[in-house]
Amino acid sequence: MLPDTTPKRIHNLPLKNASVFLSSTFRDLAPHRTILKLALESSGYRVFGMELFTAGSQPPLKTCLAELDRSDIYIALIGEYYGSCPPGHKKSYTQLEYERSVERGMPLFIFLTGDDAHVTPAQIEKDGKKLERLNKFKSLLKKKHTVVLFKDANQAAWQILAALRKYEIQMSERKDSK
Amino acid sequence: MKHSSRTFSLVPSARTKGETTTPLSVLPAVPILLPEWNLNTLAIVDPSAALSCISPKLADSLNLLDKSERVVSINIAGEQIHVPMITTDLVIADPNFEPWLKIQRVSFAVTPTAQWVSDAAGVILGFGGCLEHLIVQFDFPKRTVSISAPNKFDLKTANQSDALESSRLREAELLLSMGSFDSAIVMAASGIEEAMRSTWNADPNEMHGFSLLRLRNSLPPELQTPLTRIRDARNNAVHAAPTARFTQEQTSQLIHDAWRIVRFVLSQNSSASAKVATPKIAEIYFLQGTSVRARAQYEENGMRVLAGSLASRIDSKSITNSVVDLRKRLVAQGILQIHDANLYQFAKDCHFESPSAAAAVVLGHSANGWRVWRNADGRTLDDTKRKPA
Repeated sequence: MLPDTTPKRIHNLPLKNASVFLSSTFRDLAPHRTILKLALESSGYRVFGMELFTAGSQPPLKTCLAELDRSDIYIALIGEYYGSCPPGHKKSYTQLEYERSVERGMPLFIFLTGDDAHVTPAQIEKDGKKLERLNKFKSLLKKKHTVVLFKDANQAAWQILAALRKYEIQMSERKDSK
Repeated sequence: MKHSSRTFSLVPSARTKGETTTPLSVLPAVPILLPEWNLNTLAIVDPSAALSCISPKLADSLNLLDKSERVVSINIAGEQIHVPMITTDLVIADPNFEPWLKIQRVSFAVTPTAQWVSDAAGVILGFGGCLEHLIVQFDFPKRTVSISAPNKFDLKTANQSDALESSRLREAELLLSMGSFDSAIVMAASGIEEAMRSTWNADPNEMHGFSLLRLRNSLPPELQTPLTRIRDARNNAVHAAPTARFTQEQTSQLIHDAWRIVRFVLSQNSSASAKVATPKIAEIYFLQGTSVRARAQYEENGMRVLAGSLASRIDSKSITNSVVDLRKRLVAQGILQIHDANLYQFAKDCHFESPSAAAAVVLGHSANGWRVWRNADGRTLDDTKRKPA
């Protein structure tokens, strides 16, 4: 049977104008962020966590987490680079943001680079300790969540919109059944 | 003419403004760089737009509205309105965001907010001055758009001589083969002038008369004599009595020389424009605090903080007297202007003798400039300039 997508159902989407927090390293995934921002914003979502990073220097962790607390949905985009850590922390910004979103019980969407992704040597973590933490982090994510693998920025955008769509429909069904 | 082409995936989008039942659709977006404005973004490709546009929000955030050179009258949905127009060089990047094509002097109309479907993309590439140079093919089933451009726009191949195009010299060769030697010589001379015009952006009115002589001084010695020969031959062909005929051999030699000169002139051009053109995104350094936001360029003898940067107005306890004095001086000179209760804004670019001085003025406290200025990749000045990879 074809899915029922009558306008009535879609009008009542719970996530209209939802805000999305996009968590990822900047150095290796900058083009992905640009494309995802366009895809999400043109689809009616507000995107947080973007503008803070575009200037290159990392804002304080407190600011990042405050942005996260303002958002409704958490999306993590994890490449082959662990990223920088806030002063005094061993975990990266991305991982700390992830932990906060779990604490808050936000809907999570986790995207990892697939085996067929095009990765340049500059995008790969070279620091041995960080690489170990990255691998640990990734296996934790794979264990706890359904992760989606992406090949490039555009594929990631398609998958994220599709995942959000699916989630919205689930939510509206749950609302209808109540 | 050789072409260079790239294929971009269309960016997905859902629920465009005003329609709640829209299924997933696609946006033809390509990464662009606007080097003069230090802007690196995605632009929507819209062949149905007569002109390229920029959203007022983006134009405002880049402080472009004051810079608009002229106002154009455009027709939007049957209504004639006047909008400001800004001209700048455009660089289209390839799917990996590497600079690819350069189109010079593209005009962007600042169209009213109501015309923009969303804030997501602030730039639209339209036909006039931009897409008219390119071949744009949409493949919706495959969700791709492929863009091809003549090699002269490609930043990588623009230097190669096979990309060289001089329609007038080709015409001169045609005239030669048809036996019109006088006309061929006149055409060859005008081919050189055409190359000069495109190189030096010279005022066309200035080109008459002394133009070829002006060129002479900038040529290497081995090309100066041929240039004089071409000029004399052109003058003879135009003014002398019809008895003074050129032979086919002479004409052929002159056209050959003209090619050498044009190649030289255009090669100067592409190396000169490549210098200007290659967007130095990596060379822009950023400094961002809780409220301050500054952009700067690293220079041999210091740091140039770019206009529009925001600096803290609050002097912290650790500030040194020299920085306090420097800040006072910049305020007195009108370079630092009051932006709001907490911030100054740089009214124009300002050179500092060291990265640390620039950082201290921006932050209001002492800082190690080598460590706080970071480029778009998040690397510090220390990483990029002191310890090259």
